[in-house]
Amino acid sequence: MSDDDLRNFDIHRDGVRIGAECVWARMRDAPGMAHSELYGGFHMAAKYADLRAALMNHELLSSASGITLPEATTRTRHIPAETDPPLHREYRMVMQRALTPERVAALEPAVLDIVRTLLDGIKTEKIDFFSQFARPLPIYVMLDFLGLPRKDGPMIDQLVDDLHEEVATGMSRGGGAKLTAYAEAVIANREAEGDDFVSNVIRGEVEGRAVTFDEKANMVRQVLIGAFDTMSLTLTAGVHWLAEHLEDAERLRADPSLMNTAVEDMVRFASASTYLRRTATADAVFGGVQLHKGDYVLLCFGAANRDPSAFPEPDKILLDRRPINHLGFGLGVHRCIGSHLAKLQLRTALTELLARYDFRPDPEGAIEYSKGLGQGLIRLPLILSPRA
Amino acid sequence: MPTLDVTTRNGERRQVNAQSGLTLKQALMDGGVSEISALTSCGGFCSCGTCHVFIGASDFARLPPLKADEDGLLDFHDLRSPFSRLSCQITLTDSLDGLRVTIAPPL
Repeated sequence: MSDDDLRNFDIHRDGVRIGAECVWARMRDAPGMAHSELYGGFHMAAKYADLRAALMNHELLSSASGITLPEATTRTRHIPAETDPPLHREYRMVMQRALTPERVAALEPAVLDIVRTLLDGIKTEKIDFFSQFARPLPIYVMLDFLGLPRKDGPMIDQLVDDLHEEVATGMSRGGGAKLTAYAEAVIANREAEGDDFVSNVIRGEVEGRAVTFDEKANMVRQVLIGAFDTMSLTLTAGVHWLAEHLEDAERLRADPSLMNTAVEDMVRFASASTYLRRTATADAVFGGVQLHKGDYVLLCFGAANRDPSAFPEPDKILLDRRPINHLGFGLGVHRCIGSHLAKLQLRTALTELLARYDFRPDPEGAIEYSKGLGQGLIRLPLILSPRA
Repeated sequence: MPTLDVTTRNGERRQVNAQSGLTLKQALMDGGVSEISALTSCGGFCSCGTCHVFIGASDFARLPPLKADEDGLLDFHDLRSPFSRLSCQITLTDSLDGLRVTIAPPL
């Protein structure tokens, strides 16, 4: 790819994830930050140091005018992802009480039950790992987390898909409105009765006032949206690696103490939240370029997480990689609110899969990648062989 | 009610009276250690990695052990030491009276 091509770089182009590692290298190697002329123009924070600095500088690089590219016009802003401090922190305090490491650890039996139920439902040797396991897992976990019936899973799946399509195309297909309506129904049909997520949101206060109905529904919608694609893409990337590197699968099976670092490196490697946007709040020099107020900066998580200056052998998953200071969950004020729950699901799913099966890629099947903000495998044909 | 022996970033030393059951981070904020409240952003649930402190070397073994999530976030700090902790992950007890805490440089 030439520099000219970077000037037309488009995260929504068909096939954009194929060979992205080479594109990311070009982005990183560009002097300053590479620039694309699409979507009104945007700079690319692709070097590890630049992305890290961008994430830590929420005063210069704001989320309050949206974090998608292009800007989402068919829905309201996400809370808290599309807000800035100090309000951001108040929203986040309402939402995070149910997502602490201790609270998430208590969900382990429920997550294990969902993992086992999904695997018990797989009756064939050949499967599409993404659609039959990785995609439904976080949906059912999140429904449990929110106290909602599991039968809503397939409908939610379709709604979230439609919403991403709307952001990519700017055309309303109704998914966003339906998901908002679903989140509103969650709030409308519940009373605050305990210390669970929905109860905390219903009782929530910010700026010394009660959180409004729209804000509450927005918080529910945020965790629904944030929880699904990222988890599915990361788990699929990790399982794809293990299917192609049987020695790593065997090593992880034999030494469960590697699971924590393995999962962290899968999050880095997958960078399932691949691109997000920020907007400059002032004229300033950043990342070696002159930014003007209102300029877009695209946060390139995949590129930064494969930066060889930060990660030796960046294109490999190393089960024992240390240090593991990756940006796959972000960093700073907007760092992933669900990271503990995501890691619990990844650990539980991988442990159970490795215990039950030997798995390898199905040579007759074709893999497929998504495009857009979250890029990764959305089709992974595998052959599962039950272990004796 | 444990008393903490706190060294701020500019080297000033002060005693902070804390309440058992609170996290160290909360106690520092309540105790007016503005460096912590100005910086930390996630609200104290082992997410942003910004409430980094150094514990006095001989005090370190008095703390509950480091867990994987905290260990990973500490990796972001170039100045991580063997006595680094995230203050949001330490729940104070009376047995931690006299704990020596130094506020680490920002991330």
